[in-house]
Parts: sequence; structure tokens; C-alpha cells
Amino acid sequence: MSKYVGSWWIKDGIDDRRLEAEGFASTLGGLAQFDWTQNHGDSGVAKSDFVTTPNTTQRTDSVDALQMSSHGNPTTFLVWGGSVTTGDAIDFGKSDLEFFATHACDLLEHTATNSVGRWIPAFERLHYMLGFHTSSFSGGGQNSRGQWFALYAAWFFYWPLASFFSIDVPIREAWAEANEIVEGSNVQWAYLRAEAPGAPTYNERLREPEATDPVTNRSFWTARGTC
Amino acid sequence: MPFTFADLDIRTTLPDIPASAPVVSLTPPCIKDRSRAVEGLTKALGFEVRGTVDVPHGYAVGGPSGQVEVFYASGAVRGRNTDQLSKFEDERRRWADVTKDEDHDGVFFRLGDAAAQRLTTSSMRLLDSIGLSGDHASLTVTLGQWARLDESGAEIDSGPGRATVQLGYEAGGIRLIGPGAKTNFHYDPDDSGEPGIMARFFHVLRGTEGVKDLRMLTIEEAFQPLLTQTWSGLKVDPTSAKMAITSATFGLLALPADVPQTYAAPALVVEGRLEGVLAEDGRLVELRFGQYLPLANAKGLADAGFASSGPVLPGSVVAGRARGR
Repeated sequence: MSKYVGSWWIKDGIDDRRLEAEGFASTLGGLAQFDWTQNHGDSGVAKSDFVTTPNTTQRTDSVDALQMSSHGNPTTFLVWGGSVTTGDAIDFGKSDLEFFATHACDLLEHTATNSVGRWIPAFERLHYMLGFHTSSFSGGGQNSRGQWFALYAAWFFYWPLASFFSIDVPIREAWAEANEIVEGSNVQWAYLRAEAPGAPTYNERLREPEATDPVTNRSFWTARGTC
Repeated sequence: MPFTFADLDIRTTLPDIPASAPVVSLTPPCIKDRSRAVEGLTKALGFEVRGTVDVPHGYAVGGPSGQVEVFYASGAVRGRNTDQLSKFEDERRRWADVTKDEDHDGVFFRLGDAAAQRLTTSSMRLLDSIGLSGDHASLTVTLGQWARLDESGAEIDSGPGRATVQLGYEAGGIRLIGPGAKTNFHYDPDDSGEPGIMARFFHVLRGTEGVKDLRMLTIEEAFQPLLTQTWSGLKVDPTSAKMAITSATFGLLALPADVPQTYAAPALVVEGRLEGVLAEDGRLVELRFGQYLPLANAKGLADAGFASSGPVLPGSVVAGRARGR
């Protein structure tokens, strides 16, 4: 069964931001093991895609993994004309979503006075939020971020020469390697992951079949490193 | 009504933009020269080589437990030991020589001076032996940081992660900014906590061959793209919202390793915040941004013999447009 992937993006005059998100989904969508089923840009990026809303199915929760390009801050990422914050009713993974990746600046900042634990309520059955402890950048060739993320997270595992050798790395390493290519050394990638007994996620791969979701008795790990 | 430069809340010291500054010509990479680096890195990373294959961005040498990739666009080299990348069960790395410090952001960990020096020495020796050493302008040794949290978000524990020896570079005496000029060695501790087992490696640095001075934009002109851009469908009123600049650095922009680049032109790398924007739902929104702002205009670059088409972008299906319109 294919995994479903999606892309959400707001350009604000820099088309690279669209390419970042679409590059992730379109690269994986070229594989038989994935289907690119959701693509929403600019005014199509709705708050109700992310926040539990009565009588609305969250389109983000109809995919297994998504990449998003929009602005943010430690408690917020932007949607068209508004924002999604840690105070909203976010239930990522209540249906399907396992991996949420975004370039929103500082979204996963973790300090003594502002713990990244503020995003834990958004983890219904989500495995990973992948983002940044610092700013991320646009306008300097970052358009291939999503493509590189997809290449290392799964594409090189299934690619046409896989019988010769494949590249098989955990999703956290794929995020780090993708951002090492497109960001300067002043930037720090980050992630927040959930795990539970029987649901280890540290070495989880995007290419793997649907894994057990961390739901009860969870602990959370955040990590960051230099690009 | 867009922001003007006078509206900006400058919370940092803006760099002086010279009236003219150098644009540096970059040499096409000599891929043949990379064979020594590939051979050395496969040994340093310690994996079995099964063969060489073409990849979309160049070629890769390796096998299922590790690979070294060479990027045709820039001559960049990347390597990894995939067994090492999956060796640990969680983020913890038990370095024998580590120091716990604290700053305004909280606790952080750094490698002890002796361990950092050993990693630096072995990294520089490796770089020299594989023919990739250049005159680096900066050298830092950092540790990744991790924290474990409970369901309430309370931090239970924290500690050091993988170590990175990182080199930065200059061209024509000016700092190279952006993603395309750095060397990263990423290390795990060995079983006794000593440095270090190399898990990943990345090097991108294009050669230089000439310099031309070009007239630069004024700082007011350079900020125009930022001042006039849209903000995610938000109605931004400069009389009530504030755009703050929190950092600005001058340098020559080095593009990512997968981008062919024949010249490096001056640019600003800027961080900032947009505060006090009233969204449609009545919420006050703050957002942060990071952006590169060119300091040389396209015509000036073209007149001096520097031009770039940019990447070939995929097209998209256009429905309902009459043929030829």
C-alpha cells in the first residue's frame, strides 16, 4: 500500500518556497511506494487544514508525511491570512499524519524559558515534527530543500539502482542532510519526536511500512545540530 | 501601503555597504580531482565499496553501509556511514570529555578542550590527506544538543549529541555566506567515549579565479525586496505593525552544492520579525523571517560579464488557456 504525501506552501513572492514543499512531495510521488495526494498553495493553505474544526476533515491528516513552507515563530506557523498556534486544537496524526516538516523559523526553538514541549499537545499520533531551532532562510537557493529531504528519506532506497546499492538513513538524518545542503552554517535544524514502549522512533525511516504509533506512556525527545 | 526603509526598527548594527565591492569569479569544478577525496573518505568512514553509480546530482561510490557522493555542479563531496547513523538507540552520546555550561538560553554542552583539539587535529589531517584543504577563515567545534521531555513538556534530562568540526571560508578577503562554502565533519564518540567515529562528512567550496569591483546597491535599495513583499495574505499596516531587523551580515553569497555557480556576488543575510499584524480572525500575529538580499543588481552584473539564468524550473499544467495566447 502506498504512503500518501503532501505539500503546503505560501510563496510571498519567492517561488523557491513553493518548490521546497512541492519538491518533497513530487520526488516521492515519482516512486511506486508513494502517492502525492495533497498540494495546496497560497490562499489554499487554510487554518482548517491543521486545526480540528467541526464538520471538517483536516487535509493534512489524509497524508502520512508533508512538507510545508510558511513563516513562523516558536509558538506559531502561518496559514493564509492567519496563524496556527500552540493554543489551537491541533491533533496531528489523529487519522494518519506521522511526519510534519516545515521551514517555519524558530518553530522548534528549545530554551530554558521556552520549552519545545509547547508543541506536544499537537502530537495525537504524530511521530516527528521536523523544523528549526533558529531561523531558516529563503532567497539564497533553498528551493531544493524538500527534494533533498525526499531523496535521502526514501527515494534513494527505492531508486532504479537499488539492487546495486541504496541509501537508507533515518528520517532525522535525512532532514539534517537536506538542510546541510541548502542552509548556511548559522542555521540549526531541529526535531521533536514522540516515542513509547513498543513504538521506537529514533531510527524510523520514511520508507518503512506504517509503524506502530506512539500513543500512550509517551516520552518526547528534541535534538538540534548545525547545518 | 508598503513599509519604507525609514519604518524599519533596526535592532542590530547594520553592516557598512561599500559603494563598490568585489564579485568573485568561480572556477568550474574538476571532478577528476575528487577521486582522491572519494577514496580517502570511504576509508575514513569505514564502509565496504561495492561500486560506483550515477546519481541525479553527480556520482556516488559505496555500498549499502555507506556512500560518498560527488556533486557535479560544485565539486562538493558528501559521505556517510549509514550503519553508524543508525547505531544508537536514542540521541544520547556519552562523550568522556564534555563540559556543561549555561547561558541566557539555558544549559548547553560543549566538548572539552582536549577532545575538541584532538577532533580538530584529526579532521585537518584528513582534509589535507584527501586534497580538500583550503585556507579556512573560521573553525568551530560544536556539539548537537538533545533534551528529553515528559508528556507535560517538562524537561527530564538533556545532554550532548554528535560533535561537528566546522570550517568556514572567505574569498577575496570577504566572508562567504550562504550554504555553499563550508566543511563539516560529524563525529560520534567511540565505545569508551573518546573522539571520534566519523558518521557524516560534507565539503563544498568552489575555486576562485578573478575579482571585479562592481557598484553596490545602497542599503535602502537592498532592502526593497523585503519591504515590498507580501506576508501570507495578512493585511500589514505599517502604521500599526512593526518590521524589526535583528541581524544583518555582509558577505559573498555561495549557493548550495547542487547549483552551478560561476560567480559569488555580495549579499546581505538578514533576520527579522514582523510584529503586531492583525489577522482576519482578530489575532495579533508575529512572524520571523530569514532572507538573503542581493547587493548587486542584475544589469550591473551582466554589464561586467556575470550572468545567471537560474535553474530550469518544471512547468505546470495550464488549463483552459487558448493556444497561442
